[in-house]
Amino acid sequence: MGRIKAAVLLLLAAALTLTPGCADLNESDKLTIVPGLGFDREGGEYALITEIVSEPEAEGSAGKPQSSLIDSRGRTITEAINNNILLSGNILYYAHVQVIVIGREAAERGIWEYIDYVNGQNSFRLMLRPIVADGSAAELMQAKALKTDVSSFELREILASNERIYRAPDIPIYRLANDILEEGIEGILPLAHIEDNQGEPTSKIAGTALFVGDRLAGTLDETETQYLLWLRGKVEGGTVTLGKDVFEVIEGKTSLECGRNTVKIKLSVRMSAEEGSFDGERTERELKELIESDIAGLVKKLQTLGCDAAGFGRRLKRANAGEWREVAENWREQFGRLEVTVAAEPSVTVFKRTNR
Amino acid sequence: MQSFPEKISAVMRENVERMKEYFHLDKTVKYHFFSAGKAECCVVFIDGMTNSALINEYVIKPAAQASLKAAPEERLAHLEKDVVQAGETSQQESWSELLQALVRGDSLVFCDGCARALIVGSKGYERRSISEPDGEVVMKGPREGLTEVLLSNIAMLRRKVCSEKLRFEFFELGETTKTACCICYIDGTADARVLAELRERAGRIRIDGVLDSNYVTELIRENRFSPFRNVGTTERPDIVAAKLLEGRAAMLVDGSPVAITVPHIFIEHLQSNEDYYISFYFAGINRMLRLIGFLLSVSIAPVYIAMVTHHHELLPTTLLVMISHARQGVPFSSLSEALILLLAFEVMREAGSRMPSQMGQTLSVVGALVVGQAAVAASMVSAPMLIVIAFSGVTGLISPKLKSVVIIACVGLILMADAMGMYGYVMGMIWLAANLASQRSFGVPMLASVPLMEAGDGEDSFVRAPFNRMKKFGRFLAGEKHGKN
Repeated sequence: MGRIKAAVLLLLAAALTLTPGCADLNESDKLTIVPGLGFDREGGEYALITEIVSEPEAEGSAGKPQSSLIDSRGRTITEAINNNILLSGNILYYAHVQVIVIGREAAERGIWEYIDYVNGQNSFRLMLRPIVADGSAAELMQAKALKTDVSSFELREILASNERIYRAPDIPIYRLANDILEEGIEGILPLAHIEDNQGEPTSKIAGTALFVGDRLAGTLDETETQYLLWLRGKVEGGTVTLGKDVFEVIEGKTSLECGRNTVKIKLSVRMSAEEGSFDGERTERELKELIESDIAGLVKKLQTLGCDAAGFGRRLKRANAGEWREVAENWREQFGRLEVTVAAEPSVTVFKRTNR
Repeated sequence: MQSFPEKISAVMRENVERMKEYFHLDKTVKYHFFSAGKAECCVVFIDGMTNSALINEYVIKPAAQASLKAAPEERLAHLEKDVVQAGETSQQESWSELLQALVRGDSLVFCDGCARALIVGSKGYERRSISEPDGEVVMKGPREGLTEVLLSNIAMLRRKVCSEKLRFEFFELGETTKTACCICYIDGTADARVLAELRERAGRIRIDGVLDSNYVTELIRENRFSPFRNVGTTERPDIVAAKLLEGRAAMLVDGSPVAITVPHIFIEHLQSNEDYYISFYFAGINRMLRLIGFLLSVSIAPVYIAMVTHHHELLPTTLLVMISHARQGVPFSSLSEALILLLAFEVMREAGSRMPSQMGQTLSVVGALVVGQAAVAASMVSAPMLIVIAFSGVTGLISPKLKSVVIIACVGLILMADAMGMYGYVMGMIWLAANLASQRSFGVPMLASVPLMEAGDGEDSFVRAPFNRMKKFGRFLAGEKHGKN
């Protein structure tokens, strides 16, 4: 009995070594950690720029991680990535990729192949953030990082802090893939620019890249981005500028009634104002007009581009599947013909900063 | 070598000569001849084992002044009844009994004409004074500890439990040492099945000598190869008394200051007598800390190794970058690093525990600075691994009773984690839990009284309920009618 038990235990223990990942022993110092990747298209080739974390210059805790960039090219994404390994001479570890920067030209040609490549590799995380560069990806990744020495970490942090100020969307790659594949909604990504900061090119994320299918169709500025994000989801932040006064959004709610021909947008939003910038009902009326015209302008722009980035089609599908089936085939055209009415209800709370 | 016949002779000289011949090189065996009336007598005792004042004052002096007029065969009875003034006397004719009494410290009085000898209880030897046991120090609470003398230990117990129901059963263990042992329990409170099992197991022991209670512990325990102890040990009489009140049985061994208590279940590894002498809030926090400390000490190193060798994706990026940089230039694999550091830690712990406290401090400074700081500076080991092993080692010291489990489990889990990553660690933990759950201590499941196992028994397990809320104190052992407040 004892021998049988021992044999069973031995077999079970041996079987354990076959479980996935078991033979995957790698010491952490043998890995080259990749925090970000950039894709550009140059002619028929894929230009890949890989940021790798390198040894800190100072010893001990004072040593902040540094990064270096590796350029590689290939006729396919896989070839470009494989050429990368030849250059770096170490195992490139992609599980900690935080951002993927896609150059404007590459985005215009279609981003699905990048999403597909990342989703197909088990080493990439589905929470990584794709960003569209308003230029080439290489330029953006070479721009100076202000806080850390690794520009991908910095881009990721800028995106995270954007969540409250509604200047750019923060979309993980799995949600982008869902938006592209799902009917009745289009994908959006944050848009990054190079800005001059005290004489040095620095990266800035503000605005939205709009996709129709997987191709870049247009961009939105910061204000338009805020209204688009309100239409897509929660209203928990952002600002509305009326003349010289700035109103900060505390909370709000959007409700969309989507039909096959009409869309009614209702938006109630509570804002805070400083004393002096608030003039009772007049300010609220002016704010209402401003918000309504801004949202109407945004929707008009989206309709012109044929890009249902707010997901009116998806809402129609969820609310009335039968109606959706009739228009699903030609939704992009139908979207351009939608009659959209906007009703905003702003309310302003005044906060005193100090008593005079 | 000369051997003794079964019974002693009626001729005193013959008996004494036989003893002198047997103990001719032993200078501690003393013979004192004196005349009690017409009868010639001899008192034999071992120097150093006896209270010589008692022999002089209450045996020799009154005997020498007495006039034994009785018939030769009546003399001894007369001596015992009317002359010798000792609390403990008996007549014996068997040589083996007499010699046994002699080596235990009693005195023998041979009287000419009597075919029996008188055993006079005169034990008196140097003993250690009562002090607080170093291994079970408390901040608050009784400070006395058991000593090596069985009778003194029993007295300490009797002082704590002043009840006629406190019972002691004596027996001897060790073919050569004939060590006196004693089972203690509170009649009516102790579980009869546990007692019967203890008697039966103690009765089965065949061993030359019992020099410490651990000889008995190893021989009476179940699952001898399991790292978890299922026989409790303590050097404190207050703990023994508390266990007796909970319905457990205890065993004391002469010559050992360590008492054995059975049954001993897992939760007792996390308990301390101090838990009952301080606020129940603080006691609860301490117990939870001990449990967390135990889990951390067995888990932190294997989980770290699994993370840095197999599951880099589970670490936050900045932490991985930090660990990766710290490991640059270290020539050993993470597994070797961990094992080397664990070995170093255990060596220092063992060295420190056998050392005078002043030298212990030097050792810790040298250990921390030389082995730690210099090893990191020289890239022999990485700083994160040093932190992990040091933390694991320190948390392991929270529950000294689980130290052997921690060492064995930690090394085993490290090997499994290195081979199979988190799968290995999880499998190891499952094995550890299954091993624990499958064990019993004198019929009581090792995981008894754990809230998850038996709802309602949690009043004195991971936390201690206030005394007025303890309705069924140790009820799984003692039965419903006992221990109620």
